[in-house]
Amino acid sequence: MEESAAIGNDFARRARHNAFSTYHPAVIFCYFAVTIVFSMVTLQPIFTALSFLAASCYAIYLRGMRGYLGTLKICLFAFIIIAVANALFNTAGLTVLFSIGGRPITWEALAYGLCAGGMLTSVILWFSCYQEVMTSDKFLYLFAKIVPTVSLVVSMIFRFVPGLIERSHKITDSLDALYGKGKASVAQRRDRGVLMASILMGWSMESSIETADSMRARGFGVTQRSAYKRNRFDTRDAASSAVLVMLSIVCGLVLYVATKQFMFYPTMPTLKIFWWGYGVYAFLLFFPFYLEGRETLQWKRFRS
Amino acid sequence: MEAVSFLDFSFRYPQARRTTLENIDLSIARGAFVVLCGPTGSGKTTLLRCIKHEIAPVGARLGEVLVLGHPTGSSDPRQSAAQVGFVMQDPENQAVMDTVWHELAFGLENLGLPTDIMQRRVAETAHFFGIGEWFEKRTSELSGGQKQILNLAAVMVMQPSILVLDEPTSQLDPIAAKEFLQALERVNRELGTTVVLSEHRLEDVLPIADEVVFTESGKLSFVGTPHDFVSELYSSGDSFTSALPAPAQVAHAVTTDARETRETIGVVATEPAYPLDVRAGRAWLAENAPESIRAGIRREEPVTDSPATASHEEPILTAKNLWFRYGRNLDFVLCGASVDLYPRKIHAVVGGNGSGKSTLLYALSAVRRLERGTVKCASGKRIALLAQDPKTLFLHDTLMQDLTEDCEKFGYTRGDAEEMLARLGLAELSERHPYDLSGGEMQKAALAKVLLLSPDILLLDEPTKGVDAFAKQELMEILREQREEGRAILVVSHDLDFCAQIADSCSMLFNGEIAANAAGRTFFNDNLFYTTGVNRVTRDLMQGCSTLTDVVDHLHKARHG
Repeated sequence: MEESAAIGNDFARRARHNAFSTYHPAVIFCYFAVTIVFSMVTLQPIFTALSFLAASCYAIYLRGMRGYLGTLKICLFAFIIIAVANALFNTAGLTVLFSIGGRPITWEALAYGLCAGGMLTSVILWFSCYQEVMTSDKFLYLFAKIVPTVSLVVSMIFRFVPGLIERSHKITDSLDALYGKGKASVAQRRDRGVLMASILMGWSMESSIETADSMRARGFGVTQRSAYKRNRFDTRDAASSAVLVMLSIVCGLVLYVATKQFMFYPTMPTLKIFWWGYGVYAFLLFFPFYLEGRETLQWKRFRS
Repeated sequence: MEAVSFLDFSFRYPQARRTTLENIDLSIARGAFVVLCGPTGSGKTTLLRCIKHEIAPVGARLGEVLVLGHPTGSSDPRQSAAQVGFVMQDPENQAVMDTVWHELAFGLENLGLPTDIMQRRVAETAHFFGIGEWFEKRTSELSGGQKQILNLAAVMVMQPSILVLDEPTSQLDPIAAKEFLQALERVNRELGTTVVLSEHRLEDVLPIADEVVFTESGKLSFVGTPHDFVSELYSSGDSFTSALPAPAQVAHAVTTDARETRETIGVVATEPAYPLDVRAGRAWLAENAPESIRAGIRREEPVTDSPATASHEEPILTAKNLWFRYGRNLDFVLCGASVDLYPRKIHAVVGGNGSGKSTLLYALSAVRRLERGTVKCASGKRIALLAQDPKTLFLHDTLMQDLTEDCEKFGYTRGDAEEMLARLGLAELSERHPYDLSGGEMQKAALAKVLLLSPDILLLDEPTKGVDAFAKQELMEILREQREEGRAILVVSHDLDFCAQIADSCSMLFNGEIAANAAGRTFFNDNLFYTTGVNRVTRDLMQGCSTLTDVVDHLHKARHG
């Protein structure tokens, strides 16, 4: 029983408190959409580095060092493959560092690979932050009106999967208890696995009939469903959306100009963009921290 | 106006040979608390479902069912969904949404109510049922008892005027079941909601019911007050009496005894008003039991079997100082528990929820590896554990396939399996799908599966869960037979009456340790809170009685000196 509870908890892990998640789901969704798109389209060393830095800080803040490193470990693998592969197979670029077996390894190709890998890593990190802040009920709130049945189905799946896992553990335990643990041969275990899959199907069918009865008994489908959770779009949401819209427009222009100017091949130009361009982009990326800081300040003032 | 009326109602499932319900005439008053009981397969579920139009079974029907004066299904679907609430047996499958708050809101969302009305209703309901603390939890994290309370609340939030429940406590342990029934009593008493409930735990529901409806093979064989119901059952000599509350059973034993000895025991001797709860039972006993059988006679020796520890036989299994936990950072579930099992003895381990009872069994059968402690099993002895949910043991399409699954490996034949089924009274069910069996049948089938492995040590986890009173008696007989065949049996259970009736010795697991350990009867006679219903009624009035058999023995001894 305790074990299955642990599985359930793990499945339903919830984010720590953060200021941003108290905002309207639309604001949160748009912010992440803009940030992730910007991070994907700009392949320029400094912008990519900024995005990576911000995503890392936010991921550590939300998920702790352990969770962050876990994600980073997976990303690092992709990062190295992209960087090495691009350096090895792409011979464009004029600054030759050295050659392997007659193939020139250029500085530009290496930089491009590093940059692309960094971009991918930061996008993955942003997604991990998105999952923490934009929980399933927020997503459902935003999209339930557009596709009402999807919201119900997703919620039912969230309920169904832990049940299925728990059930399979119970069956294994019961059979182990009856026949003794670890005494089954490989062939027997395979046969048992097949049987178990079929019985789990039967069990799911049976329980879904009961669930369907329970739904009908409570008037499912008699009329258009309404939503219980109300997320008010208040002045605070309006103010931060205004700031975000402005930031997005300016950043969009800055990034457009910057990516136009910058090219990896044949040689990388020196980066000429005004410092404020980086500043505005950094502000957009660190925007959740700005909200966090403001909330902390308010709290302190409130307490004193 | 009646809440529900059945007017000469009959029902037959398509392709069924006989009618499931026959000429039912029943009217249920508004605000009543009605208990529906009867043997398995007497049509209780069908009767209840016919009240709720949305989930009424499909089949041929005659006559009418009126809900609040209107035939079912004739009113507006929104109104119909809200006015009759239905709670089913299994706590697991009724919850639709993944979080508690969303589950509470589900019915209201279906009705398309505006958010502010919903929020008020959900808040009220959560408050009434004490759900506030787990309001934000996932439904999968809740215990069985909490899930069933949630299912009740999720129905009550729609403000039904009639609440129908189909054996809602059969999958719960006794404490959770009591809590659930208390919540139900509050719904009835404080809100005036009409409650129609089918239940086999009569002990807990008869004292709070206004009316009892007894069904037998699709007909109503009794409708009346709980007191009349008890008298009726006793006068007709129905086997269902074993399900009655302990106070009534004690009163009946005393009255029968008095009749036999032709003693008059006061005015109630001919037509006793059977007490239904412990307080009334004690008052009855103090007033009506003859002086000679009351505390006056102190028996020198209480009716106890010789303590297991004094047994001269060697233990077949010795477990010493067991320590176990599920994770490095979790608390110990077992901390220093020890237990000995002897051949030809039934040992019972009782204890509350989460006291580690099931874990102890899994540790003894080596499914869980212990952190510390030893389990020593006499050489060449086979150990088998029957897990709590018998449904988890069946993987095949028919019972027979399941029983013969491992026959070569364990050295038995199809013939043995058939013999075993016949012995347990399951012969006709051998080609059925295991999932179609009733609670009692499934438990017996699981037992058949274990017994075919001919284990020397049999471990049983909550064998009486979801089993009605009649099947429980059968189960006891089977276990006693197995004991006579020389097996050592360990039963882990919440069901104290069951343990008192079959166990030779008993221990209580508390906080991961064995807190008390004594020979069968002494265990219950020494406890005040944690004891059987019979013992509660007879404490200080009749010494040393924890089961009905004790009471009968006691009366017999008192009579013959």
